Amino acid sequence: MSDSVIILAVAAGYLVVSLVVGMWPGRKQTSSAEGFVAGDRSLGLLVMYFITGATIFSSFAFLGAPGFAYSKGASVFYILAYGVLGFAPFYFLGPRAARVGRHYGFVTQAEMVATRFSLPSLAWVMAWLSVVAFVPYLALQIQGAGIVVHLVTRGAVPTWVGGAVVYAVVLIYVLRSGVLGVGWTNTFQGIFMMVLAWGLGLYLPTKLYGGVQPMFEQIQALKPEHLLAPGKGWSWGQYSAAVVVSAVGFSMWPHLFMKAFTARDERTLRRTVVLYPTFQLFLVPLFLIGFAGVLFAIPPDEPNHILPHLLMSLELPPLVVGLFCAGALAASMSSGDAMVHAAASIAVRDGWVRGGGHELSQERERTLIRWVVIIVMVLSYASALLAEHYRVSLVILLLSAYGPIVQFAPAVYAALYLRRVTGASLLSGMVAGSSVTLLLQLRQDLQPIALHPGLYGLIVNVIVVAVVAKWWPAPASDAGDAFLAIARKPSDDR
Amino acid sequence: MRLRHVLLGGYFALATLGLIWPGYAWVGNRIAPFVLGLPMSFAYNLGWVVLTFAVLVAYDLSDKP
Repeated sequence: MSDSVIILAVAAGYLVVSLVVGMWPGRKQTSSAEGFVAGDRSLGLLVMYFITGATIFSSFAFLGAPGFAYSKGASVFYILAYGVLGFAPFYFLGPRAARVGRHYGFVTQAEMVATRFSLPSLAWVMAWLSVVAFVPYLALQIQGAGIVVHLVTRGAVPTWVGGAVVYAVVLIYVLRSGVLGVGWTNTFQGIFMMVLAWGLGLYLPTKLYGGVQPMFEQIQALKPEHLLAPGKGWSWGQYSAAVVVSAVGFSMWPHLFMKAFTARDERTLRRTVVLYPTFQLFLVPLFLIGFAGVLFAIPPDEPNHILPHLLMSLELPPLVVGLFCAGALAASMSSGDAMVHAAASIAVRDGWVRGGGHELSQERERTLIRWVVIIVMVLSYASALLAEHYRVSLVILLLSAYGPIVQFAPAVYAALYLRRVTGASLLSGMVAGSSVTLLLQLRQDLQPIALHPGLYGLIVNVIVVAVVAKWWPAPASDAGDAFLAIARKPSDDR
Repeated sequence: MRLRHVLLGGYFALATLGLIWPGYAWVGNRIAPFVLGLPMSFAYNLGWVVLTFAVLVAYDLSDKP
């Protein structure tokens, strides 16, 4: 049996297990949109832990993070830094969102914000910004899956075939089981990729250098600048701004924020945040893999291929390569499934129902979300193919998309904490902030000091909100006060 | 405001400064000494992850209904 067949057999076995694990929970959920989108608000700590952790660690984890450590050195530590700061606010935001979610029946952050300020257009804008942000992000996951299959089969399986097969599996279990399918596959995938990452992260430095410390000592002797921040190509301003913007935007990603509406109770949500740093330790072996490539004699075609490049160059047993392939697919799928599910739910729930003012029954809404899941998947797959054909960097698209997501922060915080802010001021700030971010992303030379376009956008956003709210203050609103009272009042399940 | 809220806010303000410029640049951004086989610049960030976990556990356990 050839090596490629063994590798593909291991990857196929993994895909079959993912499919079974993902389809099984669909038997238990109700047929409502709330069941499909929020899992009937029933997820316990184990699933919540993995659904948040595995959702965050995408294709970037197995390809991008080692590639970043390999090519940019200590710049990669910014990922650890923003992870430390970014999820903690959810300890407070999450339970407040969950309380109003239960009371009003919310399953997305945009409908929460729009209801709080009685402004449906806010939901419409947030919905479309979210969808626009998700398509390149999802395309990146599809492309990552295709690249992994392509490289480990030494080109036998084209990228477009690998991506299509892997995401056909995702499509099936998301359509069947909604967020419960996402949750249980993420649990399986999270455990799988943690074991794989630690195995490879310790094996490669040992095999190539005799251990982790000997590896760093050799890098210190030959390329010491690689071990010092802010790293290659970044100033301290850019490093610090990347940490701050990523930390602020971290909890604002809709596919993550929506998990506040899926948790069984507030204690589960809080414990998920408390335990999250333990998931971050998963980054350590991935960084080690990247550093293991720094002094490797033959460079990869591009930095993001460093991990499969090392594995293929070392002539490892095909079973090990197959397991790596499965682990990398797990990282891609565990984010891609949550993104496609969130994008479709948001487009229908916020863009069509709340923003567009259309009435739908629960069953019809669920059916429409399923159709939009297919549309989003097809759009993302087409984007991945186009990007590959025209050699457009999806990372550039992704960076452009991240800016608008960060602009949600003032609206989300205001919805859950502030009385004297209006929906019009938040909408103005969001549009202004997103526009500035996009402009500076396209014209980096316009930045007065090289920071992060999203940070400039956020500053403009906050200033516009403050100025508009000052000129047109919010009238007293019983509905708004009632909303905040519900958000503040702890439930009995603490 | 309860003391535990103030302490948590203070911790995260300190962590923010410690993880970006100037805190990281001045305190943690060096290669030696190696900690658990990792250069200081790496171990320093990892230390913040572990410390934050401990702080969040303590904060959560001290939350009396």
